[in-house]
This record gives sequence, structure tokens and C-alpha cells, in this order.
Amino acid sequence: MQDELSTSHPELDIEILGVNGVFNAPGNEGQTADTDLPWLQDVEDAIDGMSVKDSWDATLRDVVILDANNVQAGTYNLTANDLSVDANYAELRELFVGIASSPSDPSSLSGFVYFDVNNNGVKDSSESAIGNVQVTLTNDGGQQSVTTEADGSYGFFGLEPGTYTLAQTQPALVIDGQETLGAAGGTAGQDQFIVELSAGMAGAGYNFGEIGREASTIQLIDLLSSPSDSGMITAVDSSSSDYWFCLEGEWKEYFYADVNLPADGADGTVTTRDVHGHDFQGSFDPTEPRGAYTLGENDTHTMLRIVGPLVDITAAGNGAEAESNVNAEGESLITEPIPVTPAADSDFVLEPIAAGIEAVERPSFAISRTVEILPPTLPSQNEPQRLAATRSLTEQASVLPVSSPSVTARPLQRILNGESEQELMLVENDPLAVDEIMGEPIRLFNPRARFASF
Amino acid sequence: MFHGDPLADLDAEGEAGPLPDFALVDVNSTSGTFEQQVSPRNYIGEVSGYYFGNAM
Repeated sequence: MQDELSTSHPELDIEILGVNGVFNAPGNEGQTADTDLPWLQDVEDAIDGMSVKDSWDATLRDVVILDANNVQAGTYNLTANDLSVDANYAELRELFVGIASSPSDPSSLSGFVYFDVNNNGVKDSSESAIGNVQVTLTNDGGQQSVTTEADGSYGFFGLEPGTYTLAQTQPALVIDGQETLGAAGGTAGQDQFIVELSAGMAGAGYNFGEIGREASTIQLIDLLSSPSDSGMITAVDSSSSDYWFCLEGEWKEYFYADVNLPADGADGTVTTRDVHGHDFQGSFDPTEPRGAYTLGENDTHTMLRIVGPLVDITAAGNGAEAESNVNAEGESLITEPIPVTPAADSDFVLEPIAAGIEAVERPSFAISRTVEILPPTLPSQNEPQRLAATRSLTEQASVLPVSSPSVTARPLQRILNGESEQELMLVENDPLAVDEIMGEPIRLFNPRARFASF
Repeated sequence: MFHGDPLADLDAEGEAGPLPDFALVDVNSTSGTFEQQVSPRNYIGEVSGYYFGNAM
């Protein structure tokens, strides 16, 4: 019957197998002599201590028919219905065909591509989506691709039951993170899932996580503009040249961090002030190398990253009381987003190089003294008008699947006596380098901590 | 003509669920899956029939 079904209905996937009784293994050789159908030897503890026959409540010479979802769709007993009778044979054949021909409910696979900044495989509400990433679905029937929406979502719908491979094209300039299996289960590999879909399954939650942008794409402005209270930036770097500074505890506990990188190569200094008004001071040797490290928050530390040669910056506290939240001139500076369209201004396009993808030109700022970053929330009327402030580049960047992630630059404005004016210039096509900030103290404000102090 | 009632496998919500899965060895030396573990999960997306016989 298997051969006949395969010939008469090649469009239907019908497979017939045999299951031999538990204590009848000696007869297997004779049973299989004239057939190439799978002949499975049942055992006493095949399913939760029961044989398959008992677990499935089958009777000797039953043909148990499962549909595409492995749901029992029919049973036909060959003792009660001798297949040597043509009518019985035809009836069983049509039972198979009828079950295989019945329409099945379409299934779907969907999920998100997002920055899993804490790399825990969970799409937290504070974590940002990545749009315009290509996701490809492949099965025996072919291949189809979609790109993620601005909210990072993607979906394939109207799917027939079967085995699918769901793969993401790793976005350029982004560090790969964890993949998280969705509702239909399966297996997860690097940038892909393999899922067996039954009919009517809504396979949601197949999420592709990225840890963050590659360190080469992150500059001081990212630090300055990040609204995060659980780690200012997210990136992993094992080889490039970077300063990094490790804050004990969580970033939200800090009001600001002053970093001074002396132009003469002498030890750098860092001063932090926490939300309780305590100052901490530390120093670092800018020439001491350090091995692989992670930027971002872990259990006990929050990392700040400053572009430049890799060194370890250690901090020590002295517990001095804070005196003021503003600089000596009584002024503060905030930022305002300016969208930059890569296609319209090649100066801001991240271009590939022969050996790989690397950011070569980015908008940046010439930074002098104190910069304050505020959260994207309007203050009360009693406060000086503060323009809507920041979201991080990480949050706003829509990473293109090729080589031109869009970026967002922000001019800096000074708030003085309640009025704003342009203060620090936006230096287009002039990436901020350590050389530019050497000798100038830089104050990194935590926007949320600052806002909370109002 | 038919025995056994597929409706008896309906779950509490009234929808039938998959039968319990297993993995048994294929002992047919002329089968394409000889000596391999075969499971109903291998046939998701297809209609499969399991004949419960006794090889005497």
C-alpha cells in the first residue's frame, strides 16, 4: 500500500511503519524479508515505562494513523478488516488519503532582532530593537526572506507543517549575542533556529539577540548620550584600543564621572560622584595593557568606555561630600538629536574595508569641559526650559544589513539662565579621538541620576 | 469497522493532542532507517500509519 500511495498520490506525504510486539523480536527477520518499510521493535519502557502499543492504547493488528501534527486521526484493525478483501484495502487506502488531503491550519514563525545588552537571552523592555535586518526562512519548499521592522519584529505566516530553518543575516558592525527559542521549540544555533512546525502553530518568540555595536563604532558621544541606568554602553571588545573605566556598583548609583586624560601621557584621573553626593577619585596608567574585557553591566560592575589605547582604569573612593551639581560657570549642556541620513551624506556612512567591516568615519564632537546629558523628558515649568534630550545611538541606530548603519549625531547646546544657545560645534567627519580630549577633563553625567535629583 | 475512538484523545480544551512520542530502533535491514532510532517526530508534517503486528 505504501508504494501504491506514493505512486497514486505523490503530492501527499504518507508513511507507513510497523511496530513489532515487545516479546516478538525473534520473528523480525522473517517479518521484514519482503518489505523496506521501517519495522520498529517495541520495548517495555518505550514511553513512561510502557510499551508504545500500551501507551497508545492500540490493539494487535491496529493501524494507528497520525495526522501531520501527530494527532491520532484514525485507527483501522486488520483482524476485523482483512486487507485481502478488496473493499477493506480500498477503505484503508482512502482513509490515509482522506487524512492527508484534509486542509491544515497555517502556522507562523516570528520574533525580534534586538540589542540584548545584558546578554541574558531575554528581550527586556529597555532593550532596543534593530530594524532592517534580513531574516531568511528555508524548508524543502524553498526560501523566503524578510527584513525586520523598525521595532525589530519579523514574521513568516501561512506556513505548512514541516521542518524550517530560520536564519538571521548578522548585521554589520554588531556583536553577536544569544538566540532564544520561541513557542514551537526546536534547536538554536548561531544566528539560526531549526523548528519543526505542526499545523496551526503560532511560533512566536524566535529572537535574535545582539550584544551591542562593535567597539569600533562607539565613541565618547555614545557615553555622553546614553540614558541607560544599567550600564552606559554595551559592547564587547577583545582586541581594539580602548580605555575603559570600571565603576563599582551600577551606573544609576552615579551622578557623574569626570575623566581626565593628560596629554603628556601621565596617569589619568577619574572622579565620580554618586547620587548620595559622595565623591570618589582614582587614577589609571594609560600605558598598561589589559586583556579581553566586556563593556556593559555585569553583576558587580558597570563599564564606561572611552576611545583610545586599552588600559585599565581603577577607581578608589574617598567619600568627600558633593558641593554642586553644575560646573564653575553655572552652566550645563544638553544634547538634541539630529538625524543623519547615510544616503544623503556620505560623510556619515560606515564603509567596509578590504579586511572586513569597520567604521571609518563618524560624526563627532569637539568636547571641552562639562557636558550634561538629560533624559528625554520635559522638566517642570519651574525648571529652565530644557530641550528634549537624548536617546543613545544604540537605541536610535537602524543597523542596515550591509555596510551603512545609519547614525544619529547630536549638537550640544548650552543652557544658561534658562535660555539655550548653540555652544559646542558639531565637527562633521571628524571622529573624536583620544588626542582631542587629552588634557581636557570630561564629565560624564548620568542623565537619570541627574534628573532624579530635581 | 473502526475501533477505538479518536475523540477519546481529546484534551481538556476539547482538542486532540499529539500521541506520546517515542523512539524505537528500526530493525528492518532493507529499510532506509535501519538501525536508527525512529520517532513519530520524524514524521511531523506528514501522515503516518503505525501497524502494530506480531512477528512470530
